[in-house]
Amino acid sequence: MNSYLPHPDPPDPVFLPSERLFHRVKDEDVEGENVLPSAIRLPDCSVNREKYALSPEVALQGYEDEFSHVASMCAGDLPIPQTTEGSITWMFFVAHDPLVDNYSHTEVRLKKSDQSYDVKRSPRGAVRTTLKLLLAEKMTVIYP
Amino acid sequence: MTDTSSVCGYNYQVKAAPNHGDGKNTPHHSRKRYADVSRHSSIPASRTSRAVLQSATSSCVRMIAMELAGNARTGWAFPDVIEGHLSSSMAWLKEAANTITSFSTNQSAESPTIASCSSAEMVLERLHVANLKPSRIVGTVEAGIMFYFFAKSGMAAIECFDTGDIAFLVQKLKSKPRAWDVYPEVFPLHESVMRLADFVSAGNYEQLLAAP
Repeated sequence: MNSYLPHPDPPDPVFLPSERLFHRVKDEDVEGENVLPSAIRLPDCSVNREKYALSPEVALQGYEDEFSHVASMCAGDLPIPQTTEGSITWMFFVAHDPLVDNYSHTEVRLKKSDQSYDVKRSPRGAVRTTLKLLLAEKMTVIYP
Repeated sequence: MTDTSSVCGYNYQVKAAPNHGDGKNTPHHSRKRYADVSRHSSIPASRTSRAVLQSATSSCVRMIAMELAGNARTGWAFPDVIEGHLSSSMAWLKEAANTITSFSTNQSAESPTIASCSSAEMVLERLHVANLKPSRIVGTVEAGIMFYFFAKSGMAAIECFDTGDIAFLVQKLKSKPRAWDVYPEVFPLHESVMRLADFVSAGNYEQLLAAP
């Protein structure tokens, strides 16, 4: 099992818009080339960034028993901010979060636009389902 | 309680939950109600083992089977229960119930919670009454359960969250999605399922997307 300890080297905060992000996906969460919202976790969706990943398939290492596909999205193509009831605006952003055994580990995170990121703070119910769908729609299955 | 939220650059709509003043959309009694099991199940609130849930899911199927068989004999109630339909209907119900049961026996960290399995069981009952067969039932990476309905012109989903809360989602192909929460007092589960049945069966996307 992979370790979740932080990497000793500092994160690289610079993402080119065209840099691809690789997300491991279960077989049941794939429909054609599309990723289903059940494959998305909020507010922190784990991905590997292309800049430091040897290949897209690296995202599957250690998880081969459950995950069999890799989906890709671009760092500059995240869903646009969404304003819901109460004028709450949720926005996605990318954060490099290197782990001790995976320097490329990155998270697509969700936060309120007027607040800092908090892993304990994320939308519930229908808003959550909708945001998961919007993020899933940005992904395309590329492996196998 | 309908919200046609204006959305920054993206016009999806969300069925609003009632705000009960505690800063959260879901009232505690509502959450508790949906964390409980359905009337056909027998999970005491104090017992939460997966073995109990597994037996409850099985009993749910048995109860529905008995109810349907009784109704078929007396010739009333479920209009979808007719000769020939019953066996095929029960087949997918049993398969779906087995899927949910398999989630409850999975011990991995992301396996669906007891609350999500209980909610899924309730959803399954209602889907069966509406004769609405899901295309796929999957465990989510958030320890919930998702029912999918795929059609050529769109997709729909029911998400049972790890908390037991339930949300519906419909989307016409390449268009804005519409989602709403289920609340017993405001928008009960059976009404949501009937709306979904209209969406999936009749393909009446425009009507559903325009509905309050």
